[in-house]
Amino acid sequence: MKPVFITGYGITSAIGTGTEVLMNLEQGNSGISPIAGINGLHKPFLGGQIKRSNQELLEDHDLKGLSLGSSRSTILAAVAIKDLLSRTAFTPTERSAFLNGASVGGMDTTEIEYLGDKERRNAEQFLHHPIGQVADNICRLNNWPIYRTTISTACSSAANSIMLAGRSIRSGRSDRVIAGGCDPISLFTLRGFDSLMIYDDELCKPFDQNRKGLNLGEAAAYLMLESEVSIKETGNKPIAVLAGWANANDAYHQTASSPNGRGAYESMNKALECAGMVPEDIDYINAHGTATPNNDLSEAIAIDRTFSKVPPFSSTKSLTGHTLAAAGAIEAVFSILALEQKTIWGNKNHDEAMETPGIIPQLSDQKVEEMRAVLSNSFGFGGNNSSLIISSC
Amino acid sequence: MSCFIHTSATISVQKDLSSPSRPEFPAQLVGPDYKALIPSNQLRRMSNSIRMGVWCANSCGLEPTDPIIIGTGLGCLADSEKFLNSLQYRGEDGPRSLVSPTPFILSTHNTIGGQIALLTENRSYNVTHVQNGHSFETAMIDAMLLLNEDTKSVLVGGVEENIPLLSEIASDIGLDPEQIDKFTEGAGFFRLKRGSGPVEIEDCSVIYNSDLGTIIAETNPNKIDLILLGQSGANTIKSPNEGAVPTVSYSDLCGLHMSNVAFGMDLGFRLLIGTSKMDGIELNNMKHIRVINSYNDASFGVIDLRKQ
Repeated sequence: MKPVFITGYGITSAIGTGTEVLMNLEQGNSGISPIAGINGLHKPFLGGQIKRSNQELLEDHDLKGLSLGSSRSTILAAVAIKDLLSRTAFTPTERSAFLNGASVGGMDTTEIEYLGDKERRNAEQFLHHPIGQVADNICRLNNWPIYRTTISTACSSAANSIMLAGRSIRSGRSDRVIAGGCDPISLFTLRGFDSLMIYDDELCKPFDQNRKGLNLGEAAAYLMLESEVSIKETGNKPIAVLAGWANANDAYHQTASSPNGRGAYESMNKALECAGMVPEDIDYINAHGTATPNNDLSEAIAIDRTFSKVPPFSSTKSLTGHTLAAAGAIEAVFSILALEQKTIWGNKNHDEAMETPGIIPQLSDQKVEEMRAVLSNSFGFGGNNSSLIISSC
Repeated sequence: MSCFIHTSATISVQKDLSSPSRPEFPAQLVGPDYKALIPSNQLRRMSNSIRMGVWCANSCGLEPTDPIIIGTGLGCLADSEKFLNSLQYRGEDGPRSLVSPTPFILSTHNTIGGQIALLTENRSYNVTHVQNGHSFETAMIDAMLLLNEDTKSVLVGGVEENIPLLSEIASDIGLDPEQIDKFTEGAGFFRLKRGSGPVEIEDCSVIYNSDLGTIIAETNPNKIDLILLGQSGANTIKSPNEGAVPTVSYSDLCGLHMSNVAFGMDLGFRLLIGTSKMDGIELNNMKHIRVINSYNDASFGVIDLRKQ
């Protein structure tokens, strides 16, 4: 089996960009605060918002080649890619690919034009709408005439794009792939999750008995994934290995997870099988843990069923908010950092254990002697369940 | 790589796929008898793209163990617009405090694949590719990768729905009205298998650093018997001089939408197995068909089909 090396990451989120992220993780600094600058909200919302406007982001990161009217998805993706390329070498070849994961796409620009004054509508702005536009923009901006695709499976999108990168490299189709995802905060998603009555007006409380729902967040993150042949050419040093992956459908309900977490159970077990591992090999689970009553119950039951001895687990969404399509990518970065730092990231805002199945997340950061492999879960609307296993080199 | 088309299902503006002809544009979708395959209580709640997807999946004979891979450039537009409309905040009342979650739930691009899985109790690999005018090719490439792993059969489909807003925007940005008239919607689904089948997919790729003239000129007339050429973007594209291989436009038959190359691939499949005929095309010795999709003259999908 060809190993799939992870040789770098780039990230921007409510807890920072690039190397700031580790500092904020270690200090347990949450990026969740009142959301500002979104028109059309009927009440205050809390979320993991990156407190820079589009114009400020373009200036901060010197993103020439992107117009001010670009979708925030494109701008966040460009910031994360620039961060990745600042530490990791990438020369595109015929066997390179850019694999994005996204669910909002240009909806943030669309909602402004669509809901705005019709007389002053700028139809050109709608051209940002298609989700695939983000990947096309990133490839144009960086002069990459390479294969690209975008996977949109709601909140598991980036996990699936990283999984596709693993499959492409293991099969020999590709040897150098940038994969991850991006999603901005938008009126559409804020009001969407609120309409489902799963948006917590206060700080979200993953895996807590009294959890009421999620807080959204925005982020973009990308991994550099390479084959053994590729790292000889790029000179990049492996920081972790993408050891296993799986995607399974819950086939239970369009938005809710099944009570026994059958899709989650299957994706975790198939990922272990793909990695050639047994449950005892996993030292930490970075859970999906959205803090919705349904997800956390279903996921906790599936974890409890998969692991006879449940390893330390936590949700980092109380720090970043639920960043939707980007979640699988930023949490893959947190998993890599957990391996590097031999640290289990704490699950903030947790007060009371869930009655069922009675498993308690890791509450504060914990240094450990050994950290060999991390399991990262991402589940989404449409019954999409995906799990990644990232191991040390 | 071993990948064969076993079954296909297409919904388009064509009345009769056995002898497709250029329709009058603007053209209406010719829907199948959805009720024959979808219970009417479910059908009522489905948007056009979901019902097209579910009907095609059933019609292809989807098995519960088949992975489901969907390609769609614009996804569930009608439900997206419906949810946006409920968020109107201009006017005296300001934003409504209560809005219905149903259109939001149905607005995500993976709703089509999710609904197919839900209704057929399919718990396999399930993803949706959304890469503009190459969404279907990228879904196909994922499907072919799966068949190259340990998967025996897979369902792959391209779906687009049309809403009036698309034509309004196209008109506002000054696109050629003749092109706008050709906007349509449709779906093309395939059940692909490893091993054997009536038509092999020899290759599927997306090319970003070439031009249509070069791709057509480089098509070997000793190997390829027919080119089916189409476009998945709204821009008027330059027609290159015809090369040595006879060329037929499939987007003239099905109209313009981002995943119409699925129609082109199904047309190629049908011509090779003899269930479609077209005037002026000799099918007797036809073995190889190349389907070429130009997306705004900037990038190109190429699918090579070979009769077994």
